[in-house]
Amino acid sequence: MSGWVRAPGVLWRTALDGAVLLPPDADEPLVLNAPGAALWALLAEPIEFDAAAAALAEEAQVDTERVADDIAPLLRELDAAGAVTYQP
Amino acid sequence: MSGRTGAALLRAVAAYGLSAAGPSLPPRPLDDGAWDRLLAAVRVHRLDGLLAAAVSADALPTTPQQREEAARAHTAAMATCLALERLLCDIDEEFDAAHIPLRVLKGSAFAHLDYGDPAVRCFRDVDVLVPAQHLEQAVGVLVAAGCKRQVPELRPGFDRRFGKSLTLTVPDGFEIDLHRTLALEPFGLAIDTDDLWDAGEPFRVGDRTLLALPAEQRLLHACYHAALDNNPPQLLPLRDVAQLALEGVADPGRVLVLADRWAGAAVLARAVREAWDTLGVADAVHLSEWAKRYRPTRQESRMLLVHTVLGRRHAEKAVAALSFIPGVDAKAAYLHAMLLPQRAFLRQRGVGYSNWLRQGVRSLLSARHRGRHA
Repeated sequence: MSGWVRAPGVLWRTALDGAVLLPPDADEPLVLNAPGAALWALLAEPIEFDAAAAALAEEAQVDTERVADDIAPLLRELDAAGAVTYQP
Repeated sequence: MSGRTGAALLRAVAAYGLSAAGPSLPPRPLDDGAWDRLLAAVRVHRLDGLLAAAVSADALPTTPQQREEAARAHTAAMATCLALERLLCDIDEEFDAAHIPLRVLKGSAFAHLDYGDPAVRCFRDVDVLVPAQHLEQAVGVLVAAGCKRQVPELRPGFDRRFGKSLTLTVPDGFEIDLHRTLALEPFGLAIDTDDLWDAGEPFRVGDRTLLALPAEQRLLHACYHAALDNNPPQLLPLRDVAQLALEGVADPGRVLVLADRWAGAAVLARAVREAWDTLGVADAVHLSEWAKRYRPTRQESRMLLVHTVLGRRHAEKAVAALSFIPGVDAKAAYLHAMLLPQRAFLRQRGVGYSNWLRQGVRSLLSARHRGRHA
């Protein structure tokens, strides 16, 4: 199955109203808010960007395009931090 | 909120999520002063995870600002736990390469194996167990990695033969407790350390599989920690005892067999009774009923007294420990170390040799006096 997925070795915990991640090479933890934590939950299994946006939009009962705009920078940030990887 | 109300509220947080727990959480948000005091106490007692769980479920109603403060405190506590788990994985990797067996104790192991969500159980250091014969090698590995031992050994070889644990500080300030056994003498010397190396229970941290003690030994360790390491017992260790006894998978029959073999039945009874009383646990289980009925022997009472009331009086601990040290040579080595610690140990403790000896004699005399009047 292809798509975005959590990178191996990322340590994480749920937090009140979010999640905290510590990627293998990061000096500082990443703190996610509630929508970010919802994305993180989806990334337990590989998922394509569009499918993730659609799932989150359905859960929050909002427009998919709006969610896609919101999660695109977050996914880029997670990728840059080594917290996620794209599985072809 | 009075001091007593504050203490009851803190106990209610510590008991949150246990079935039919006694102290109750307030039905409406606390005023700001009471909230600030609660938050400060929660931090001291490492209860941020339980507070967050109670707030998240709305079992403890909060104002928006209070919720934000609870979230901030929990996030900080979780960031610390993750940094410690990274350290734990590094230690596991180093020890693995050096062929040093390891079991994870308390914090991370309890969080992953005994609480439904590891975010509920906070911890502030790393505790690992290594076999006695690997202890010095393990210290060498950690020192080579930049860690510093906090207190020099009483005498060379003491830790490997008689010690409970030693503490090393990592350059970033975290502490590693390297254990040989689960308690200080005399109880620690009565533990059959072979029992600690039964097949470990695996759990995942990141992409590593770590090993913890089996469920029964884990519950007993929670009891030793709760009943002996602080007087009065602290809330989080008591919560661990209740959590493992109520929600864990330990076989109570096997726990009692091990406790008996380790001369630790009185420790188990004290910890379970304190957990049930302090947290107001209403559920009766096999161990809580047994603990209620248990009456310690005279020797057990004396051993508990050494730990709980007499604190750090090394001479009384030494006398109580002698009956658990097999063989004349080992007894002599133990006494030699207690009477004649190496200079570096005394220097670090800020005490001269004559003072050390005087303190020992004084506490022995008072022990004899207490013994006569018991």
